[in-house]
Amino acid sequence: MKLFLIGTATVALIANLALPALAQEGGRRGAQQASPAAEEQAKLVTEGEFAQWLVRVLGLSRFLPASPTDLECFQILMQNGIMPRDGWQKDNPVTMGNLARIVVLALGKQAEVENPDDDESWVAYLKSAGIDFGTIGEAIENLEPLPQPVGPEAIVTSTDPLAKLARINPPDNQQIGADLSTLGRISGRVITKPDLPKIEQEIKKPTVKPPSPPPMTPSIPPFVKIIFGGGGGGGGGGGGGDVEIIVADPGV
Amino acid sequence: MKWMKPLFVGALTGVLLCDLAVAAPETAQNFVIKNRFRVGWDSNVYEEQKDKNESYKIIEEIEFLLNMDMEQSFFGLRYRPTFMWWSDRNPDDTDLHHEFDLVLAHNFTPRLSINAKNALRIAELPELIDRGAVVRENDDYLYNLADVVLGYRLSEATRVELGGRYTLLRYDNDEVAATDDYDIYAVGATLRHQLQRETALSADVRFERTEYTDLDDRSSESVFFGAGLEQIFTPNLVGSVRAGAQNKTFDDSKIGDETNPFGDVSLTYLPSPKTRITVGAGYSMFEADVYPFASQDRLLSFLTFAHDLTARIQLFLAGSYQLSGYNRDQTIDDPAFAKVDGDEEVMQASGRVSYMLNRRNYLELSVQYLDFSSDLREDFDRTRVELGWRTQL
Repeated sequence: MKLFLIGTATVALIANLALPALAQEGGRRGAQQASPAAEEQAKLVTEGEFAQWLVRVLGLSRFLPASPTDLECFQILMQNGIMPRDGWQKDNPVTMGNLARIVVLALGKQAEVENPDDDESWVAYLKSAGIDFGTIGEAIENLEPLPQPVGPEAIVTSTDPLAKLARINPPDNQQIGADLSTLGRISGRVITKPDLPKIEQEIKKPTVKPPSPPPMTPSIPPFVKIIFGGGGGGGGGGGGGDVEIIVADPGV
Repeated sequence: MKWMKPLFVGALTGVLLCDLAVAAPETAQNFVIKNRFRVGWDSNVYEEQKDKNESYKIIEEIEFLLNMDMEQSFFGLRYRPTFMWWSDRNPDDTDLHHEFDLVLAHNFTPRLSINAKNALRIAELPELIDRGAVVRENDDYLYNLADVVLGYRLSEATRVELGGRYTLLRYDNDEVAATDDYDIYAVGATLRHQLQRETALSADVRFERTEYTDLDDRSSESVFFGAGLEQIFTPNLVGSVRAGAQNKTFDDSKIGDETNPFGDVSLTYLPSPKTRITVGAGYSMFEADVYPFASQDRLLSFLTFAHDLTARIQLFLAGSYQLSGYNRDQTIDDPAFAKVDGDEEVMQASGRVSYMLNRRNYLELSVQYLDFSSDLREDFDRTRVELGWRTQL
């Protein structure tokens, strides 16, 4: 029940926060189209501000921190092949040529522009396609989330505690367009006591066998008995008979 | 999953409320449905070192996107369930994942703004059994990450941000939950300054508390002091770097505390309008993936390459490398587990070719390879091949 309330309240709260602004939206669109002042204002929008809006409208926000910097927005737009003719510059005002270029790139229609080096050609293409883009607002209205958005989704290398990500993700994430699945093993706990002798043995196993220490007491080799026969027959010792010598075995 | 039902009913109710909101006639909205369907082959379903089991699979994911852009606000909602079916996997041949994302941005005044973001991930990863042995315990989990950042522009070139983040991880399996469930609280302040047209500097301080819900000894607190640089080197090359020091104090007094440097770098380069290259790397102390360690030293890096072969065909390549270092001195006391040092390496390589049938339909072919080697867990490698169709309604 508690979780239910939390889930409902969270989403509803966000929806409620959005509602008052939604009510103003229709009026804003109309005002932008009708008022020359609004158009003038739109022309003064910088590329930094425009990039911040673009990443949201094109569905790229989820690849970025909650409050991305302008450069982070530029980076992800570049990764999706969207950039003004001379690259992104935070303080540059958005020109009509660049606005047309960005709209066409975001729509994926760049192959249909006759002369990509000429700003007029991008503008002409949009006009021929019947796409209105006189203001930033109109331009954004023509856009929708990219069909194949790419971003650093599977692997986030940020070390910032407010931006980092654990490698806990569904197994179908992509890293800037290429699938990179997450490890299936989210957690691990394999080092148990029964494994300990084996693991320690492996970790401590030296790469080169050290020399054996010298023995504390020299080892005693086995002995052999050599009998030099001096005369025949008979046993018995002593006298001028056989000589018996005990020596160390030379073969040892 | 004990927490899933109430949470989902709650989220669904919330979505319905949003739906009522956007049904108002004056609302400008953008609602998109995307679908990605794939059939594939997997060389090592159970991620085993020997006696690997291969399987064919079907992956179906549908994505619902709602964007509402307003003069001073933006509201974005995304829900993506993913269903997977395996031809040869025991005892359960299906996985189900849910992703739920919310983005909210609002400008109170030209100087003051707020940005909020929430990412919810729910995975149903059942227990897997190979030849009578459990190769994976039930890994169902819920992961939620909520961010809020309040920004204030002090001057044309200087901005200050206050941020907060709450991360929650809950496993369904009681045994895993007892050692791995955590809450992470992070707060911080950032001062950004546009030094020159192409150069921005930043300084930041962060405080982070990692709290294991049932295992206090594994918990820790960190303080970070960092500085960053963002640079537009040329129109085609942009990048950022951030570095500093992290002091981590463990709740287990036997482990004590540790001060380490951290850093990350990211570069994006477009040698031509058709080619895009991105590289990134980061090094820091991080939450441990292996119990009973309380921390790991993690290096994570990637390189990606994207190229438009023709107007319709795109090629994407990616490689990544992760090195995790585990130190026996950062192990909590548990009589059942050994105290050893060890490293883990994860190497991944991937390629995908996408063919655009039209603006809303794409065919794709992808190949992935993963190599996992560890002093602490069983090594394995895995290859996946997939053929898919992506469409946007």
